[in-house]
Amino acid sequence: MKLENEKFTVYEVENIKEAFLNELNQSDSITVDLENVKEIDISAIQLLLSLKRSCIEDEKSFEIINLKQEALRVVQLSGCTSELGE
Amino acid sequence: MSEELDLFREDAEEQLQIMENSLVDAIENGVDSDKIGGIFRAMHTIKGTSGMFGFDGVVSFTHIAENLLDEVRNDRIEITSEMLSTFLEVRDHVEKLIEFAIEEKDLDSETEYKGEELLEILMQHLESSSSATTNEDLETIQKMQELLSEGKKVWHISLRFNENFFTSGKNILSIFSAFDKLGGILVSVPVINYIPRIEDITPINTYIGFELSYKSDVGYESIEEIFKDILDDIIISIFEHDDLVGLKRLLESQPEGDDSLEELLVHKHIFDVDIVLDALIKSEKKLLKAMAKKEEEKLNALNNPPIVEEKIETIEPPKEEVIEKKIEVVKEVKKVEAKVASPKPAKSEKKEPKKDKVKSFSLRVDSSKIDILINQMSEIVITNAKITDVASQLQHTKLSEASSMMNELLEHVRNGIMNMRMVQVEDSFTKFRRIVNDTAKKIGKDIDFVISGGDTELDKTVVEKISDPLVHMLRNSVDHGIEIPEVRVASGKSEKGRVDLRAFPDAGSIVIEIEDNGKGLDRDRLLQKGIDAGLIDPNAIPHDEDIYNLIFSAGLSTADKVSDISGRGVGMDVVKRNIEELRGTVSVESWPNKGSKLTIRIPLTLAIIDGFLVQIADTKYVIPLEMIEECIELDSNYKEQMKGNEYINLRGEILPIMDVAKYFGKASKETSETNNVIVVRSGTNMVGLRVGELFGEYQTVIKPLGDIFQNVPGISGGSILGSGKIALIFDIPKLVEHHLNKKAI
Repeated sequence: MKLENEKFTVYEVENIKEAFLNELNQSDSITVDLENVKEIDISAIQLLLSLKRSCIEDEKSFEIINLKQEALRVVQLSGCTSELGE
Repeated sequence: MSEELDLFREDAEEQLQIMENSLVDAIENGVDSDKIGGIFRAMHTIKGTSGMFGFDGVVSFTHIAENLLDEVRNDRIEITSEMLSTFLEVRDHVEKLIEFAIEEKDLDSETEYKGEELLEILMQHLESSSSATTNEDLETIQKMQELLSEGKKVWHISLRFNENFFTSGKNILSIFSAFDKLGGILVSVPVINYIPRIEDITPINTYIGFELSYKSDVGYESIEEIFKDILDDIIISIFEHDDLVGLKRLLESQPEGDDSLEELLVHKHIFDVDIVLDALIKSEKKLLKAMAKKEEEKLNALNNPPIVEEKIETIEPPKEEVIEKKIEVVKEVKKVEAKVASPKPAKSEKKEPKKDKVKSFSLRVDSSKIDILINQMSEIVITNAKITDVASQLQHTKLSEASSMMNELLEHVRNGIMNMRMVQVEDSFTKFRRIVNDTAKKIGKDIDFVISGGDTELDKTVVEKISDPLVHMLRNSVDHGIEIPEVRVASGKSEKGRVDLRAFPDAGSIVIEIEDNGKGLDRDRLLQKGIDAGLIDPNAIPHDEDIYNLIFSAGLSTADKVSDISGRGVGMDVVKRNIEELRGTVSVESWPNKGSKLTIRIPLTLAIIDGFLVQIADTKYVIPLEMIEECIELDSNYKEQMKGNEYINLRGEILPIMDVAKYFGKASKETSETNNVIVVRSGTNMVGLRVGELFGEYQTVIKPLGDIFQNVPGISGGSILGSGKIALIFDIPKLVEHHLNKKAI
């Protein structure tokens, strides 16, 4: 799934959660495309981690692609690279 | 080399030895947690101390090995025999790395290549583990350790947020940015196990937390300052990275039964597993978990009754009823702890063997300090001998008494000091196990290597000096003594050869035997070689023993082919020389198709001996007391028997008599008056020394004589008497050997 939002922050997380939940229910392999996302925050990372956890528990694959520089910096700064990666 | 570096080297050698012993033991007798623990600690210690000296190469290499061992230790990776062999290579490689590091040399290409190869193997194993550590992690850990070892401040910050943190308009990212400005975040690990599944999450609530390691020279206040605006919305704990109490408090603050934090800290290598366990043990609340984790180690140490072990195993299932049990277990554990802690166990309780508890600690002392002590001790002994002398001259009874008492006390002190230098030969012997196994493997032989008498104590310097000769002899036994399996079977022996290494005390010396059940020495070939080399008179019929002992002659090898292990004919003569330098002797016995036995005899101590003082002509001599069998008087009966010959019949045995004065060219009228014979024994040979006046027992401090005396056979040193005069100390084995050989020719 590809996020259309430019922002993925605490203001967006509730909507995106619904989207994630749908995707999880429909698909056996989850790919989150963040190409459009320019701004993320920790709540977004938290939501992504929640999705990843669900995937692992349901034995589904999980992948984040096209992470942009700005967003990547946040992930790196918070030390979540390896938690979101693999 | 600086003193610190010396200590480092010593310590590293010791650790590597422990590692090797554990590995060899594990290969032979199977793996257990003690051995893995030992191996792990060795790597861990070396890594730590190398870090102190900035030996980065050693640190980074040992770190990977340590990681893998940690995984093994925590049952995340199963150890295989290949892995054990790899660790042996790792051990060797670390030894090399340390050598290069100490000598401040760059690695040679061979070592470098080996290192890369080993790292690759280790990483492969590590990657097979679920919680593999990435290279990135390793770098940060390394950095952290460097900083800590440089004495830089590293803070640990544990950060949790109130549930509504996100909606309070505050931003976690700005905290991270602030941190970045103030110093540098070394490690940031998100705490994610409280984040629910996507169905259950309320995305605007805060579940995530962070554990940060943070390098900064600023103080606690400056760090707290960053959080001052949000203190109401967070739960924070800040402490220095090496502050065990801070860590303990943090772990205590975690919910009961939740050990996710400990696991995170250890797995992400923010803290060393040992440190976390230490903190846990200090924390009463978490005692239970610590117990469960430290399992065998701790439990064994407590020597607890088996009930506790059973109960601890039941902790695993996360059921509510377990809590009750937990309390029970804690009580139980506490009881055991109390039992151990209380100096007087209650009578009703079973007595705990205290041996494990009252562990004596050892002190590392520079051996030169002990040498100085021994030297001074020698001076005191000499001075006291002087007092004894004066007392007897003055015929002062009380002074005599006092000085003899003093003598006794000095003997105790002397023994005490000597004892400090004594070490058990066990460790040194175990080291040979690998050499024997490796050698055997290399040449396709199967060998049982049996060590006995490992608890025999020997002077540390002697142990060190005897080590190389022993290695050489063992290699010889394996290479030349034991046959290849096919040959063994063909000659009706078991396929597996056997090499025995034994040590035991015997008559004031230590005997070390190396015995193999191989083919034995080739007598005829040795004889031929001996004749060829001009060592044996072709017309003489030499004794078997003399032929076999030819192996100690320079330049004689009976091996048909020279292997890289042995057979060059240099070696056994060096072995003999080395042993003789220790005032020891070496001999060989051999039985065709049954094997051979090398016997080394070395004195217990080097500096002081108990001697027997005698007068011969106008000089006083000391005979080492342990060599003396008895003293007899050469009465007219014996003299009649002798009839000018140089032997007597001592209770049915022929005893050669040596006129020492004549031997040293002192033949004079006095010799006829010398009617005392001291019977000395060297190995199996007995000789009677004809001497003058007997003065009795004398504590002899050995002082080396100058080079002039080097070629005088039979004198090993000198000693200063109480009167200030010099007494010469007999080297009995040499003297006897010389006397008997002279007679044979």
